Amino acid sequence: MKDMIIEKMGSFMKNIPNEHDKEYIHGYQMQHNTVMQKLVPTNIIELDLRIQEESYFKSQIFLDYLTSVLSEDRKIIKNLSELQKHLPKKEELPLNIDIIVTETGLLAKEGIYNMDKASVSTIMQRYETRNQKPQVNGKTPDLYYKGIAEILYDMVSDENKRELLKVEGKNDFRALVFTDVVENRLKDASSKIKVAESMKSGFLHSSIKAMELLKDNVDIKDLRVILGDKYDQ
Amino acid sequence: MKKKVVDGFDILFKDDFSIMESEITGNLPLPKSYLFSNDEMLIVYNDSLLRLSEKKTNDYLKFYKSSYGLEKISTVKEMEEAYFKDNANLIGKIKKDFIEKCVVIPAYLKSKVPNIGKQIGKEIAKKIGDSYPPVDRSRSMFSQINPKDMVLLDNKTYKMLTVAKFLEKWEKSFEPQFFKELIQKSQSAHPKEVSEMMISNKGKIHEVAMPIIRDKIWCNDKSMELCIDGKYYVPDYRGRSDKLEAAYMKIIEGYVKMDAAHEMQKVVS
Repeated sequence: MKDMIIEKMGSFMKNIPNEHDKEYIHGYQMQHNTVMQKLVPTNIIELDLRIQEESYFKSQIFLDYLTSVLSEDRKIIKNLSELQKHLPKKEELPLNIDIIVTETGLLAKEGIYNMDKASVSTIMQRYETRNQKPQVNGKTPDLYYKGIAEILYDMVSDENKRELLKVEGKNDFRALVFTDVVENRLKDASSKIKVAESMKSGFLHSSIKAMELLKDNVDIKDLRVILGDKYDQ
Repeated sequence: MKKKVVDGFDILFKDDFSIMESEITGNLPLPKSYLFSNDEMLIVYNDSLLRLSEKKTNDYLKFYKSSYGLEKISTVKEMEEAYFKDNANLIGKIKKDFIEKCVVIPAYLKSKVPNIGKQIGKEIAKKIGDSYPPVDRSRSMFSQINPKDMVLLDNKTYKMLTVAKFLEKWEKSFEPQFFKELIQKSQSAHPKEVSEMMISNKGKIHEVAMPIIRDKIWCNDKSMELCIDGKYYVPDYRGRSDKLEAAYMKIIEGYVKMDAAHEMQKVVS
């Protein structure tokens, strides 16, 4: 199945329009720029958040989806910027996807992310606006883009990799990454099952379901556990 | 009517005809070059064209979890020859149109002067020579605008710098003696070893420059490695390929125009 997914995602990446043409020279190589030009808008790349390399693109995609589709609220960015001020500036960058999803859950608890019926209608509109699809009769993926597809393949956990075959647009992929991250963060099995079942109703629906369930699955103590003694306060 | 051409002579006076300057420098509707209409990553190395391949070769490109061999497709010159051969009819028509638009001459003179083509062709060739650089057909036209090795990808260009050349861009960030040793090392060592040498000499490198340099050369197993003929290269972004392509098309255009002017000189009216 992996070969099928790589072929599909390689074609997806090769044929979707760019978000931007900006090439980031310092700190990034050619393949990083390809992923960012295709999927990550400049307002997310230029946030100046120090994110661990292992979850770098996943975190960018998560934050982009959260702040441009599920909500337009940017308090998460403000909070993460504040948080990283208290983390040591070592080569090993401190922010990671665990911290980001936990902080998202804490904000959801505060009521920042409203998933009521009226909000969902707006979310759907935002979802469709940036859900660009590959051009029809696009080009066959070449080996470079198959290599790029490996990066996307690894952004989704094993139990959800099959879902990559259903991705049609950019927001489908972003929603899948968002849902996958949240699903892995959920503590109780029944919540995980609910998210997994919601996948049948589409990527947007499952991301909303994941968001609804996240707030009941995080606690401020979780953040303290993740940060451990790295946090200087 | 004032007669300027004497029967039996085969010359035209300068004011008998005019050459449209705007046509001499104007764009020709040439087909897009093969080099820049390629859909996949292309590496121009020593005037050869390489592409990624699943076959294992000594030359390779590696990034993230993928490693590919590099396969030679052809030389750039061969690709250019194919361009002219495949588009021979269209280019022939473009040349004819160019000459027709370029020269304004009264119809009665065309039949009066036997070597009209030779004389006007010379004039056109001279003007083309003033507007376009000469083309050396013994080597590729591309090499005449861009002698350096490069990677072409998605309308972007990356100059291939050896690790040593890349480090030279950052010379001021290093303690001088260490810089010499690092350059020496980078001539043959794997980028990982160069990167490790930097890590174990942290104090001799500017702390801000350190991660920027390492991120480009080698920072972990997922870093990009480009190895050709036993040398490691850093693809260094040089911008969108539009300008390079325009400069290349200008060379091709100059050649086509000059060829049209030369062909005209061979035609006897």
